[in-house]
Amino acid sequence: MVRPLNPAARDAAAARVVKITTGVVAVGVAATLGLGAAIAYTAPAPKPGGGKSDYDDKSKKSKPAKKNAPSADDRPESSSGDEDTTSGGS
Amino acid sequence: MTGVRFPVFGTTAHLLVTEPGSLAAAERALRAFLSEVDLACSRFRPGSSLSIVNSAGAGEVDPILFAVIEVALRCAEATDGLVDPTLGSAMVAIGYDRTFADLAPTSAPVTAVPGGGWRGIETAPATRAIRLPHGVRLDLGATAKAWAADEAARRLAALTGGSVLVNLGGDLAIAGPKHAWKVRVADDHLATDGGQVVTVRSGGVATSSTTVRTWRRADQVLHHVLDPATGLPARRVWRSVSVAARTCVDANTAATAAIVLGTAAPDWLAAHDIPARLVGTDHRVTRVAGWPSELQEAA
Repeated sequence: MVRPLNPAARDAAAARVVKITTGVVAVGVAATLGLGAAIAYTAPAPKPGGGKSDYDDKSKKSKPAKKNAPSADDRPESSSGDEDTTSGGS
Repeated sequence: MTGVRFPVFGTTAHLLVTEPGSLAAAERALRAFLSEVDLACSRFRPGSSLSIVNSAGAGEVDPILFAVIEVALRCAEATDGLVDPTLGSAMVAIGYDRTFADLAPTSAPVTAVPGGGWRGIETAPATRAIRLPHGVRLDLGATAKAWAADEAARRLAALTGGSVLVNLGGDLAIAGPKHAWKVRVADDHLATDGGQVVTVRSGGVATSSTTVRTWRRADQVLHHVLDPATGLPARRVWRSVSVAARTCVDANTAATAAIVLGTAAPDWLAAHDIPARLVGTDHRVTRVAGWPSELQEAA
Protein backbone atom coordinates (compact mmCIF):
# COMPACT_ATOMS: atom_id res chain seq x y z
CA MET A 1 0.00 0.00 0.00
CA VAL A 2 1.27 3.44 -0.93
CA ARG A 3 1.84 5.72 1.97
CA PRO A 4 1.21 9.40 1.18
CA LEU A 5 4.15 11.81 1.71
CA ASN A 6 3.70 14.41 4.31
CA PRO A 7 3.36 17.89 2.72
CA ALA A 8 6.75 19.16 3.96
CA ALA A 9 8.64 16.17 2.58
CA ARG A 10 6.77 16.43 -0.74
CA ASP A 11 7.63 20.16 -1.14
CA ALA A 12 11.29 19.49 -0.32
CA ALA A 13 11.44 16.69 -2.90
CA ALA A 14 9.82 18.91 -5.54
CA ALA A 15 12.33 21.71 -4.85
CA ARG A 16 15.23 19.25 -5.24
CA VAL A 17 13.83 18.14 -8.63
CA VAL A 18 13.59 21.76 -9.80
CA LYS A 19 17.17 22.44 -8.66
CA ILE A 20 18.49 19.33 -10.37
CA THR A 21 16.60 20.11 -13.61
CA THR A 22 17.86 23.70 -13.59
CA GLY A 23 21.40 22.49 -13.02
CA VAL A 24 21.24 19.98 -15.85
CA VAL A 25 19.86 22.60 -18.26
CA ALA A 26 22.50 25.13 -17.19
CA VAL A 27 25.30 22.61 -17.64
CA GLY A 28 23.87 21.69 -21.05
CA VAL A 29 23.71 25.31 -22.20
CA ALA A 30 27.20 26.01 -20.91
CA ALA A 31 28.55 22.93 -22.66
CA THR A 32 26.88 23.91 -25.93
CA LEU A 33 28.19 27.48 -25.75
CA GLY A 34 31.63 26.26 -24.81
CA LEU A 35 31.71 23.74 -27.62
CA GLY A 36 30.56 26.41 -30.11
CA ALA A 37 33.21 28.80 -28.91
CA ALA A 38 35.84 26.11 -29.14
CA ILE A 39 34.80 25.26 -32.70
CA ALA A 40 34.78 28.94 -33.68
CA TYR A 41 38.23 29.45 -32.15
CA THR A 42 39.82 26.40 -33.68
CA ALA A 43 38.16 26.48 -37.12
CA PRO A 44 40.80 27.26 -39.75
CA ALA A 45 40.47 30.40 -41.85
CA PRO A 46 39.14 29.75 -45.34
CA LYS A 47 41.94 29.05 -47.77
CA PRO A 48 41.59 30.50 -51.27
CA GLY A 49 41.43 27.74 -53.82
CA GLY A 50 40.35 25.26 -51.20
CA GLY A 51 37.27 23.99 -52.97
CA LYS A 52 33.55 24.55 -52.91
CA SER A 53 33.13 24.70 -49.16
CA ASP A 54 35.66 27.49 -49.11
CA TYR A 55 33.71 29.35 -51.78
CA ASP A 56 30.45 28.87 -49.92
CA ASP A 57 31.88 30.58 -46.92
CA LYS A 58 33.32 33.47 -48.90
CA SER A 59 30.18 33.95 -50.93
CA LYS A 60 28.22 34.67 -47.79
CA LYS A 61 30.69 37.28 -46.60
CA SER A 62 31.82 38.88 -49.84
CA LYS A 63 30.14 42.11 -50.85
CA PRO A 64 30.44 42.64 -54.61
CA ALA A 65 26.96 41.23 -54.57
CA LYS A 66 24.41 41.06 -57.32
CA LYS A 67 23.53 44.71 -56.83
CA ASN A 68 26.85 45.37 -58.58
CA ALA A 69 26.17 42.86 -61.31
CA PRO A 70 26.64 44.22 -64.82
CA SER A 71 23.69 45.57 -66.76
CA ALA A 72 22.48 43.96 -69.98
CA ASP A 73 24.63 46.32 -72.05
CA ASP A 74 27.73 45.43 -70.03
CA ARG A 75 27.29 41.73 -70.75
CA PRO A 76 29.30 40.27 -73.62
CA GLU A 77 27.53 38.70 -76.58
CA SER A 78 28.77 36.13 -79.02
CA SER A 79 30.56 37.61 -81.96
CA SER A 80 32.80 36.64 -84.82
CA GLY A 81 35.21 38.20 -87.28
CA ASP A 82 38.07 40.53 -86.53
CA GLU A 83 38.39 42.08 -83.13
CA ASP A 84 38.70 45.81 -82.48
CA THR A 85 40.96 45.18 -79.51
CA THR A 86 42.11 42.40 -77.16
CA SER A 87 41.62 41.80 -73.44
CA GLY A 88 44.35 39.57 -72.14
CA GLY A 89 47.00 39.32 -69.51
CA SER A 90 49.85 41.81 -69.57
CA MET B 1 36.04 53.97 -85.89
CA THR B 2 39.76 54.57 -85.59
CA GLY B 3 42.46 54.06 -83.00
CA VAL B 4 46.06 54.35 -81.90
CA ARG B 5 48.45 52.26 -79.80
CA PHE B 6 51.39 53.42 -77.70
CA PRO B 7 53.48 52.01 -74.85
CA VAL B 8 52.54 52.85 -71.27
CA PHE B 9 52.97 51.35 -67.76
CA GLY B 10 55.27 48.65 -69.17
CA THR B 11 52.50 47.48 -71.49
CA THR B 12 50.40 48.87 -74.34
CA ALA B 13 47.64 51.44 -74.46
CA HIS B 14 45.04 51.05 -77.20
CA LEU B 15 42.65 53.95 -77.73
CA LEU B 16 39.64 53.57 -80.01
CA VAL B 17 37.13 56.29 -80.88
CA THR B 18 34.05 56.31 -83.07
CA GLU B 19 34.61 59.93 -84.16
CA PRO B 20 37.70 59.78 -86.41
CA GLY B 21 38.27 63.53 -86.31
CA SER B 22 38.67 63.46 -82.55
CA LEU B 23 41.43 60.87 -82.36
CA ALA B 24 44.39 63.28 -82.21
CA ALA B 25 42.88 65.34 -79.40
CA ALA B 26 41.81 62.19 -77.56
CA GLU B 27 45.29 60.70 -77.83
CA ARG B 28 46.91 63.87 -76.47
CA ALA B 29 44.51 63.93 -73.55
CA LEU B 30 45.03 60.23 -72.85
CA ARG B 31 48.82 60.49 -72.90
CA ALA B 32 48.72 63.47 -70.54
CA PHE B 33 46.35 61.72 -68.13
CA LEU B 34 48.29 58.45 -68.08
CA SER B 35 51.48 60.39 -67.43
CA GLU B 36 49.83 61.90 -64.35
CA VAL B 37 48.71 58.45 -63.20
CA ASP B 38 52.22 57.09 -63.65
CA LEU B 39 53.78 59.95 -61.67
CA ALA B 40 51.28 59.33 -58.88
CA CYS B 41 51.00 55.55 -58.71
CA SER B 42 54.16 53.94 -60.10
CA ARG B 43 55.95 51.64 -57.68
CA PHE B 44 59.09 51.87 -59.83
CA ARG B 45 59.49 55.65 -59.94
CA PRO B 46 61.48 56.79 -56.89
CA GLY B 47 59.81 60.20 -56.92
CA SER B 48 56.23 59.06 -57.43
CA SER B 49 53.67 59.93 -54.81
CA LEU B 50 53.30 56.20 -54.12
CA SER B 51 57.04 55.65 -53.63
CA ILE B 52 57.19 58.58 -51.25
CA VAL B 53 54.34 57.36 -49.05
CA ASN B 54 55.65 53.77 -49.20
CA SER B 55 58.99 55.02 -47.93
CA ALA B 56 57.68 57.43 -45.30
CA GLY B 57 54.71 55.34 -44.17
CA ALA B 58 52.49 58.41 -44.01
CA GLY B 59 51.83 61.74 -45.64
CA GLU B 60 49.58 63.81 -47.84
CA VAL B 61 49.44 62.31 -51.30
CA ASP B 62 48.64 63.27 -54.87
CA PRO B 63 44.87 63.48 -55.61
CA ILE B 64 45.11 60.69 -58.17
CA LEU B 65 46.94 58.42 -55.75
CA PHE B 66 44.41 59.16 -53.03
CA ALA B 67 41.54 58.30 -55.38
CA VAL B 68 43.20 55.04 -56.43
CA ILE B 69 43.97 54.07 -52.82
CA GLU B 70 40.33 54.61 -51.86
CA VAL B 71 39.19 52.49 -54.82
CA ALA B 72 41.72 49.79 -53.94
CA LEU B 73 40.51 49.69 -50.33
CA ARG B 74 36.92 49.28 -51.54
CA CYS B 75 38.04 46.40 -53.77
CA ALA B 76 39.80 44.77 -50.83
CA GLU B 77 36.74 45.18 -48.64
CA ALA B 78 34.41 43.86 -51.35
CA THR B 79 36.48 40.71 -51.81
CA ASP B 80 37.35 40.14 -48.16
CA GLY B 81 40.96 40.80 -49.02
CA LEU B 82 41.29 38.48 -52.02
CA VAL B 83 42.40 41.59 -53.90
CA ASP B 84 44.88 43.29 -51.60
CA PRO B 85 46.64 46.64 -52.24
CA THR B 86 49.21 45.97 -49.52
CA LEU B 87 51.32 43.41 -51.34
CA GLY B 88 54.13 45.86 -52.14
CA SER B 89 56.58 44.16 -49.79
CA ALA B 90 55.49 40.72 -51.03
CA MET B 91 56.19 41.75 -54.63
CA VAL B 92 59.67 42.91 -53.64
CA ALA B 93 60.26 39.72 -51.64
CA ILE B 94 59.53 37.49 -54.64
CA GLY B 95 61.80 39.56 -56.82
CA TYR B 96 59.38 41.89 -58.62
CA ASP B 97 61.28 44.93 -57.41
CA ARG B 98 61.83 46.70 -60.72
CA THR B 99 59.97 47.15 -63.97
CA PHE B 100 59.14 43.81 -65.48
CA ALA B 101 61.35 44.42 -68.51
CA ASP B 102 64.36 44.68 -66.18
CA LEU B 103 63.72 41.44 -64.25
CA ALA B 104 66.36 38.75 -64.76
CA PRO B 105 66.55 35.12 -63.60
CA THR B 106 68.19 34.80 -60.20
CA SER B 107 69.06 32.04 -57.74
CA ALA B 108 67.98 34.13 -54.76
CA PRO B 109 65.43 32.26 -52.66
CA VAL B 110 61.76 33.14 -52.73
CA THR B 111 60.48 34.57 -49.47
CA ALA B 112 56.85 35.10 -48.55
CA VAL B 113 55.33 38.24 -47.05
CA PRO B 114 51.58 37.72 -46.56
CA GLY B 115 49.20 40.65 -47.11
CA GLY B 116 46.28 41.81 -45.04
CA GLY B 117 47.72 45.15 -43.99
CA TRP B 118 45.00 47.02 -45.87
CA ARG B 119 42.71 46.74 -42.86
CA GLY B 120 45.01 49.03 -40.91
CA ILE B 121 45.38 51.82 -43.48
CA GLU B 122 44.11 55.19 -42.30
CA THR B 123 42.85 57.77 -44.78
CA ALA B 124 41.74 61.37 -44.30
CA PRO B 125 39.86 62.63 -47.37
CA ALA B 126 39.86 66.26 -46.24
CA THR B 127 43.65 66.44 -46.36
CA ARG B 128 44.32 63.44 -48.64
CA ALA B 129 46.51 62.06 -45.87
CA ILE B 130 47.45 58.38 -45.76
CA ARG B 131 48.96 56.39 -42.91
CA LEU B 132 50.21 52.87 -43.53
CA PRO B 133 50.64 50.26 -40.80
CA HIS B 134 54.28 49.69 -39.88
CA GLY B 135 56.10 47.73 -42.58
CA VAL B 136 53.22 47.83 -45.06
CA ARG B 137 53.93 48.92 -48.63
CA LEU B 138 51.32 49.50 -51.31
CA ASP B 139 51.26 47.95 -54.77
CA LEU B 140 48.41 49.43 -56.78
CA GLY B 141 49.44 48.09 -60.16
CA ALA B 142 46.29 46.31 -61.26
CA THR B 143 43.77 48.63 -59.66
CA ALA B 144 45.52 51.78 -60.85
CA LYS B 145 45.53 50.53 -64.43
CA ALA B 146 41.85 49.60 -64.34
CA TRP B 147 40.88 52.85 -62.64
CA ALA B 148 42.86 54.79 -65.23
CA ALA B 149 41.01 53.01 -68.03
CA ASP B 150 37.62 53.84 -66.51
CA GLU B 151 38.51 57.45 -65.81
CA ALA B 152 40.16 58.01 -69.19
CA ALA B 153 37.24 56.52 -71.12
CA ARG B 154 34.81 58.73 -69.24
CA ARG B 155 36.87 61.88 -69.84
CA LEU B 156 37.53 61.11 -73.51
CA ALA B 157 33.88 60.33 -74.24
CA ALA B 158 33.03 63.76 -72.87
CA LEU B 159 35.81 65.30 -74.96
CA THR B 160 34.94 63.62 -78.24
CA GLY B 161 31.19 63.25 -77.95
CA GLY B 162 31.48 59.74 -79.36
CA SER B 163 31.96 56.27 -78.02
CA VAL B 164 35.43 55.58 -76.65
CA LEU B 165 37.27 52.41 -75.69
CA VAL B 166 40.44 52.67 -73.62
CA ASN B 167 42.46 49.48 -73.32
CA LEU B 168 45.44 49.52 -70.96
CA GLY B 169 47.32 46.26 -71.23
CA GLY B 170 44.19 44.20 -71.71
CA ASP B 171 42.04 45.96 -69.11
CA LEU B 172 39.52 48.03 -71.03
CA ALA B 173 36.74 50.50 -70.37
CA ILE B 174 33.99 51.77 -72.67
CA ALA B 175 32.18 55.11 -72.36
CA GLY B 176 29.96 57.37 -74.40
CA PRO B 177 27.09 56.49 -76.73
CA LYS B 178 26.46 52.77 -77.11
CA HIS B 179 28.63 51.15 -79.74
CA ALA B 180 29.19 47.46 -80.37
CA TRP B 181 32.90 46.92 -79.72
CA LYS B 182 34.40 43.59 -80.69
CA VAL B 183 36.80 42.37 -78.04
CA ARG B 184 39.01 39.31 -78.29
CA VAL B 185 39.59 37.72 -74.89
CA ALA B 186 42.76 35.67 -74.66
CA ASP B 187 45.56 34.75 -72.30
CA ASP B 188 47.75 37.55 -73.68
CA HIS B 189 46.64 41.08 -74.58
CA LEU B 190 48.92 40.97 -77.62
CA ALA B 191 47.10 37.94 -79.08
CA THR B 192 45.54 38.34 -82.52
CA ASP B 193 44.09 34.85 -82.71
CA GLY B 194 42.79 32.20 -80.34
CA GLY B 195 40.58 32.91 -77.38
CA GLN B 196 37.12 34.22 -78.20
CA VAL B 197 35.69 37.35 -79.81
CA VAL B 198 32.71 38.91 -78.05
CA THR B 199 30.72 42.11 -78.48
CA VAL B 200 30.54 44.55 -75.57
CA ARG B 201 28.63 47.86 -75.57
CA SER B 202 29.48 49.44 -72.23
CA GLY B 203 31.25 48.87 -68.94
CA GLY B 204 34.60 47.15 -68.71
CA VAL B 205 36.40 43.93 -69.52
CA ALA B 206 39.53 42.73 -67.78
CA THR B 207 41.69 39.63 -67.96
CA SER B 208 44.06 38.33 -65.32
CA SER B 209 46.58 35.77 -66.45
CA THR B 210 49.17 33.54 -64.88
CA THR B 211 50.92 32.93 -68.19
CA VAL B 212 52.25 36.40 -68.88
CA ARG B 213 54.53 38.52 -66.70
CA THR B 214 56.27 35.42 -65.37
CA TRP B 215 59.89 35.13 -64.28
CA ARG B 216 62.29 32.56 -62.85
CA ARG B 217 63.74 32.70 -59.35
CA ALA B 218 65.51 29.88 -57.53
CA ASP B 219 64.19 27.21 -59.93
CA GLN B 220 60.61 28.43 -59.57
CA VAL B 221 58.56 30.09 -62.29
CA LEU B 222 56.70 32.92 -60.63
CA HIS B 223 53.81 35.08 -61.80
CA HIS B 224 52.54 38.40 -60.55
CA VAL B 225 49.08 37.51 -59.18
CA LEU B 226 49.74 36.92 -55.50
CA ASP B 227 47.60 35.14 -52.95
CA PRO B 228 47.41 37.61 -50.05
CA ALA B 229 47.10 34.72 -47.60
CA THR B 230 50.59 33.47 -48.45
CA GLY B 231 52.30 36.38 -50.17
CA LEU B 232 53.27 33.99 -52.97
CA PRO B 233 51.95 33.58 -56.51
CA ALA B 234 48.46 32.09 -56.51
CA ARG B 235 48.26 28.40 -57.32
CA ARG B 236 47.98 27.93 -61.08
CA VAL B 237 44.46 26.62 -61.62
CA TRP B 238 43.65 29.05 -64.44
CA ARG B 239 45.74 30.28 -67.34
CA SER B 240 43.51 33.32 -67.53
CA VAL B 241 40.21 34.68 -66.29
CA SER B 242 38.31 37.27 -68.35
CA VAL B 243 35.46 39.20 -66.74
CA ALA B 244 32.87 41.69 -67.99
CA ALA B 245 31.46 44.14 -65.47
CA ARG B 246 29.99 47.60 -65.03
CA THR B 247 33.46 49.12 -64.79
CA CYS B 248 36.98 48.06 -65.59
CA VAL B 249 37.81 48.25 -61.88
CA ASP B 250 35.00 45.81 -61.08
CA ALA B 251 36.09 43.49 -63.89
CA ASN B 252 39.74 43.61 -62.84
CA THR B 253 38.85 43.02 -59.20
CA ALA B 254 36.73 39.97 -60.01
CA ALA B 255 39.31 38.54 -62.42
CA THR B 256 42.09 38.89 -59.87
CA ALA B 257 39.94 37.41 -57.11
CA ALA B 258 39.13 34.46 -59.37
CA ILE B 259 42.79 33.70 -59.98
CA VAL B 260 43.38 33.74 -56.21
CA LEU B 261 40.31 31.60 -55.46
CA GLY B 262 41.42 28.89 -57.87
CA THR B 263 38.96 26.01 -58.06
CA ALA B 264 36.36 27.97 -56.10
CA ALA B 265 36.28 30.77 -58.66
CA PRO B 266 33.43 29.61 -60.95
CA ASP B 267 30.98 29.25 -58.07
CA TRP B 268 32.07 32.58 -56.59
CA LEU B 269 31.62 34.38 -59.90
CA ALA B 270 28.27 32.71 -60.54
CA ALA B 271 27.01 33.57 -57.06
CA HIS B 272 27.83 37.23 -57.74
CA ASP B 273 26.35 37.09 -61.26
CA ILE B 274 29.63 38.20 -62.84
CA PRO B 275 30.01 36.96 -66.45
CA ALA B 276 33.41 35.35 -66.84
CA ARG B 277 35.44 33.08 -69.09
CA LEU B 278 38.03 30.97 -67.29
CA VAL B 279 40.71 29.02 -69.12
CA GLY B 280 42.23 26.18 -67.13
CA THR B 281 45.85 25.13 -67.21
CA ASP B 282 44.60 22.23 -69.35
CA HIS B 283 43.15 24.83 -71.78
CA ARG B 284 39.58 23.80 -71.00
CA VAL B 285 37.20 26.76 -70.99
CA THR B 286 34.63 27.40 -68.25
CA ARG B 287 31.97 30.05 -68.79
CA VAL B 288 29.82 31.40 -65.96
CA ALA B 289 26.96 33.84 -65.37
CA GLY B 290 25.91 34.16 -68.97
CA TRP B 291 29.28 34.52 -70.63
CA PRO B 292 28.37 33.56 -74.23
CA SER B 293 29.46 30.44 -76.00
CA GLU B 294 31.52 30.84 -79.12
CA LEU B 295 29.36 31.28 -82.20
CA GLN B 296 30.38 28.02 -83.79
CA GLU B 297 29.47 26.24 -80.56
CA ALA B 298 26.10 27.96 -80.34
CA ALA B 299 25.18 27.30 -83.99
